[in-house]
Amino acid sequence: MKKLFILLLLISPLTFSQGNRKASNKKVKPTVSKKAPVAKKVAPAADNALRRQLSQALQLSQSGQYQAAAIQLFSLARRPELRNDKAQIKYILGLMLTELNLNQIAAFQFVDVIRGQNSRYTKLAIEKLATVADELGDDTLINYAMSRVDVNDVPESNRDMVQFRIGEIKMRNKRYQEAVQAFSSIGIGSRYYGQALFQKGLAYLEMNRTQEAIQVFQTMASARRRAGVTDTNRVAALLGIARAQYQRKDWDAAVAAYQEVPRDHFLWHEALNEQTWAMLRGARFRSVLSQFHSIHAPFYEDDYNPESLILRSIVYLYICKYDEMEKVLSLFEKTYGPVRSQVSIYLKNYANPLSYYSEIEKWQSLQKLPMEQRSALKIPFMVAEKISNLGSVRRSLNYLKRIDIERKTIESNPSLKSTGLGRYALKVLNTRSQNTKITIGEVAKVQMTNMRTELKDYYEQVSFARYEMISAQKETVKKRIQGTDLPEARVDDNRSRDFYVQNGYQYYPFNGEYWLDEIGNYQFLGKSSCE
Amino acid sequence: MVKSLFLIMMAASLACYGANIELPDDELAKETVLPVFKKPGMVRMRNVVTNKKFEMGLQYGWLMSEPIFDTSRLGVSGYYHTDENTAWGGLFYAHSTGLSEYAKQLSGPGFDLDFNRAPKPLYSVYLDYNKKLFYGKMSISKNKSINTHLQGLLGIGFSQYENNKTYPGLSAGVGYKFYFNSSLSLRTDLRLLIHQAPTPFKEGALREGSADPGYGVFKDRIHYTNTLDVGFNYLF
Repeated sequence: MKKLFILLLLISPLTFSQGNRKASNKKVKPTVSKKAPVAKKVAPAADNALRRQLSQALQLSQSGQYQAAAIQLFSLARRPELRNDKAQIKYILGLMLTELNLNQIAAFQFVDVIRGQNSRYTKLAIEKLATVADELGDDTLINYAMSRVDVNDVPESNRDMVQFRIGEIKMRNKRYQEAVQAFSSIGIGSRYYGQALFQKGLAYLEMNRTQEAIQVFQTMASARRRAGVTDTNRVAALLGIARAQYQRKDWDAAVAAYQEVPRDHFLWHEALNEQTWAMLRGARFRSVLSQFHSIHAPFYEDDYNPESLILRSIVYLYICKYDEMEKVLSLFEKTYGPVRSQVSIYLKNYANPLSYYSEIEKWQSLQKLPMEQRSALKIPFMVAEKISNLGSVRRSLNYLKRIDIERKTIESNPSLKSTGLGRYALKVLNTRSQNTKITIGEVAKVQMTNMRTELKDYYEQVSFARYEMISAQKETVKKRIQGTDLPEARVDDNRSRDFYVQNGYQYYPFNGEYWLDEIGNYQFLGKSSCE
Repeated sequence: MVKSLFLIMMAASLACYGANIELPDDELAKETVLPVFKKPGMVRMRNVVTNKKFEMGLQYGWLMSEPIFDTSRLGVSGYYHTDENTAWGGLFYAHSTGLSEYAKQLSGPGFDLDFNRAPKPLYSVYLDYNKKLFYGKMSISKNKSINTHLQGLLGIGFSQYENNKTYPGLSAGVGYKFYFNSSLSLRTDLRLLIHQAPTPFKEGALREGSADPGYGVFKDRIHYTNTLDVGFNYLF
């Protein structure tokens, strides 16, 4: 606010002097058309009136009457007589709209200024556009602003944001070294510091420089040491370390790092899933089966995770636990059979991306309801959840929320809504909203198409696993007939229950129900039944 | 990814599947905090589901603080569970009509008090409300764990006495159920019973050898009795 006031004070004398200069120019070099004598007399008067309106609008903006100023500036910006001042008017209009929390509409004004290539206002507009685009979180606007911004022109206070966004764009374009440079320029005091470190670590991982990535994540974790055990940046750093160890193929170190992720953080679920892979690669099959018991608990019934079921069945195959394997394969078919058919039917029946978006929108309102109350959804709940949790979709949904807030701001303000600016703003917001919905819908459609293909592959794997299971079962039956089959055995046969209790652990045999405090604590105690 | 699964499995050695694996310390629980899920709830796929189910029970009741009359009673109960947390039902108790051990001792030489002259309870009927507070489980062996329910109890009803009068009563307490499987449970209820009843004490009226004054001489008043019920319930 204070900054804006100073800015306006600086701009307004320029406006007046510019206006006067133009007027004096006209006196010296009048461009008079002999064919239009009336115009010759009327035009300067009209011009003066417009300039009065313009200075009035600036006075309104200086006195903090942003809405009145914005309405007036909006109508002035459309006047062809003021086309030479258009960049300035639009820029100030953008500032007014920013003050009214109408960032999307403001962004359009700044884009107009940038396109106009006005030497004085383009840089200012780019800087402001970068700020509002950052607020809005819209990738298109961010890309547009960052492609034009010169970091050196950006004030110190916003430079970290610009560097961070540039880094993100470099990451998306797979220019990882440049991304590292951009992220490295963000200082420890910046609010982007944590995110920048995380992205920097990811960039190193993309370049397969795992040791440097680990160092970056360790720095990040240390920086958040005092923020608490469940600080998201700290937990993300721990997860980053674990992923880097996995990428280094140091399975034990990866498992150990995953176990550092606190259980009462939402990222723990990802850690649990990924840890399974580290255990599997480290050939810790008993541990893998223990983890699967948690991953396939009903607490995760809404998660789309077909791969883990197939993986579990294969582990059972390798330890000759055919009954268990059959249960897991049946669970796969029971869970993902309907998903596969529903996805296929939906893809066949709906082509319009907006239909896909509407399912995502429904999911948002249904996500906390019990399963039986989700029938309004035409695509499987877990599919909608998976798509909605994609980074790009999440960002777009957040952007939609911001647009919606702007729309409500205008609609709840009749004195703005009924003006030309109000009508224009609503039109812009509706168009942006519609386009974003289409983008989300298109992403959803692509994802669902990929899922259909993926599930087809998984079903082939299931058939293959079943074939292997039946063959192995035949062998087992033969051995049983010969009397050489193994009895059911547990790895802790020679341990009593008291052993665990005496060592400070609670011991509960699994009896079919899943308790929240057990998730992540299951231990598979069976032995291989193979001879 | 999926195609690589078999390769991974093939590449991995099964030698690690040794005969006697110790559970690695790093895989045992280190935290007491709970994972965070969007949907709340402590337990899924619970073994004991009571929602919209009926329950029948048979129980033995012990009137723990009853001084004069027989402290035993037998009861039957029936409940309907309106949801997982609430049950409404009725209890019927047939009281044993004898005297307590204390009262029997007072009938001997030296006291000569015959409490059989006082009106004894015959039966009681109560409406009962159960609020389940905790669903839990207990580990009892390496291969067996049982589920439990802790519940609050609230009852209102009446008791019929030998003097042909009915007396109102209120009861409140806590109950604990131990489930042997998803249907059969052992139920224990501890209640405080606040009820109106005839006082079995009247100077001169109980003296053995004197004329029986009839039930009318015993005045009514509020009694407080602790009760403990133990029985078996079946959920269906």
